[in-house]
Amino acid sequence: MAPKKVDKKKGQFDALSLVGTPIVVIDRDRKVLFMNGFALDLLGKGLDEVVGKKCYELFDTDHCNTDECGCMQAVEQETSIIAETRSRGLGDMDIKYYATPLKDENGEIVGCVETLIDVTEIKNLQEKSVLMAKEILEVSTPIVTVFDGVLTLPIIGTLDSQRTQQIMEALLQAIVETQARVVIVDITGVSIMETLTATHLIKATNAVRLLGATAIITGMSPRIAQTLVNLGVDLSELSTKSRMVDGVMTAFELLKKKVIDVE
Amino acid sequence: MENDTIIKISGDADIIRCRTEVRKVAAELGYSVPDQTRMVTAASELARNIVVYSGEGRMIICLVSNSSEKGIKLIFEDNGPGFDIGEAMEIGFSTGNGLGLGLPGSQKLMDEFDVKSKKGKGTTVTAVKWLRS
Amino acid sequence: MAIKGKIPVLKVGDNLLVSIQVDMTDEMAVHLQEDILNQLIATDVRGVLIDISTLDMIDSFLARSFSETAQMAATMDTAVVIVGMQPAVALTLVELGLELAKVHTALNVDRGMELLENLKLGSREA
Repeated sequence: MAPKKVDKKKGQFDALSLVGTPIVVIDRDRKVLFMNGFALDLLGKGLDEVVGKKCYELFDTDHCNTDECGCMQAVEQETSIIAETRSRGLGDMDIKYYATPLKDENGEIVGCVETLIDVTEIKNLQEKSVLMAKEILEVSTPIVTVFDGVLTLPIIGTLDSQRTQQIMEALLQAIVETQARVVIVDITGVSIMETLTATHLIKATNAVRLLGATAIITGMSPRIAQTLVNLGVDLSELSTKSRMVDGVMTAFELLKKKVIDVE
Repeated sequence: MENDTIIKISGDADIIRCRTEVRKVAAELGYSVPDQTRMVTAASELARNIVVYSGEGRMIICLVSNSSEKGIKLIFEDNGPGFDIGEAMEIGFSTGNGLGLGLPGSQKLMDEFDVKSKKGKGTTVTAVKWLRS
Repeated sequence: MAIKGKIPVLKVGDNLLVSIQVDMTDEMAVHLQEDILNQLIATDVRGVLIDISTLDMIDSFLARSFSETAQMAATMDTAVVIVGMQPAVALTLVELGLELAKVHTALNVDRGMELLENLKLGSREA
């Protein structure tokens, strides 16, 4: 059966020229039937240069000629598809496109109407946000050497899976680099500890031990102690001190050092 | 898919080959060392399952991508005796000499994990780890 | 004497020193366990130091092998210290919830030897 052809009535797509975003209309063979002024401007071509050409030749996106082509999906599934891709034909522009099936007066699908939006700017901002978030994470969890062989790590806020991962990786690396023997994890700044966070904390102390260092947890509130006990953690296995300063003194003991007054 | 790496698994030495190949591909793609190690460890467990329970099978390394990320998919398939998935996923289950930690452990290390197995029909384990930016 | 595929176990004083330099097959791990056990039985060794600084992966099989070695050694009043675990390996072990029961750990060989001596002293005083 021959593919349905669109009856080219004069001015059929003129209304689309009024819409303020790039619009492309193609038939089931993916040949361009129409493009409004905004779309033509993006391509830098005239209407007569694009009509009849294959849309993938003009736009050349990552989705073209693959199962991910939104237009083909829209036609096959008879529904609207929203997708994002990159278009080489538009100079490596990141675009978001909406594809809707085009129907003739009998309700048969004869092609696809596509609206394009340039999202390059948005993507840049998104990438910047991600970078900033990473920096914030790094800054908010500084690993400080308070003494030769003693590291401290103050934890503020909640520990989600990703953050714990990052902290643990940084901490273990620091232990190797500084040859630390003691790590003081201060959780004074953690008011509530959810089960997941507590599990992560325990994992962190176990990892520290595997590297031959001792982990001391300071600033543990009774509430958090309760959470850990409920989790089945044997608190007697954990080295804990209520204040950071006591943690440091314990670290000194472990390192066989003591503080004396200088006369 | 072209460019997939396929490793035949039939013995001890092949488990090492699996580790080495996965490490290589993951490093090339830019995975962090901890993530590389997670994948290599999961691959080791799953390759060993094939050696221990089926005797013969293979691992396929594919590069995959979705709309926002790139990743690596590891497929372990064999025509061995198969098993009841429900039982196997309980930590500690083991009929062989292994610890039985192979499946649940590997699942923890990967982002996506799927096991298809039928007694007498063989097993296919598919695991994906996405590249964290 | 280096036998192909075998990991050398050296006796130095009353310690056994093992340096794992290659990717270990399961068979090699089993042999290593046996070699260590044989030496523990045959000699007056009181400590075992295993250097895993070049090991870039420890899976459940290897973890169990180390644990078993340490547990057997403990029955013979001998301490096992593993040194040089890479951070990525420690992270994975912890995520897998693999406990290296009875295995002591240290950052490097020097600290490991120090720890071994302390452990031996400790058990003598006990």
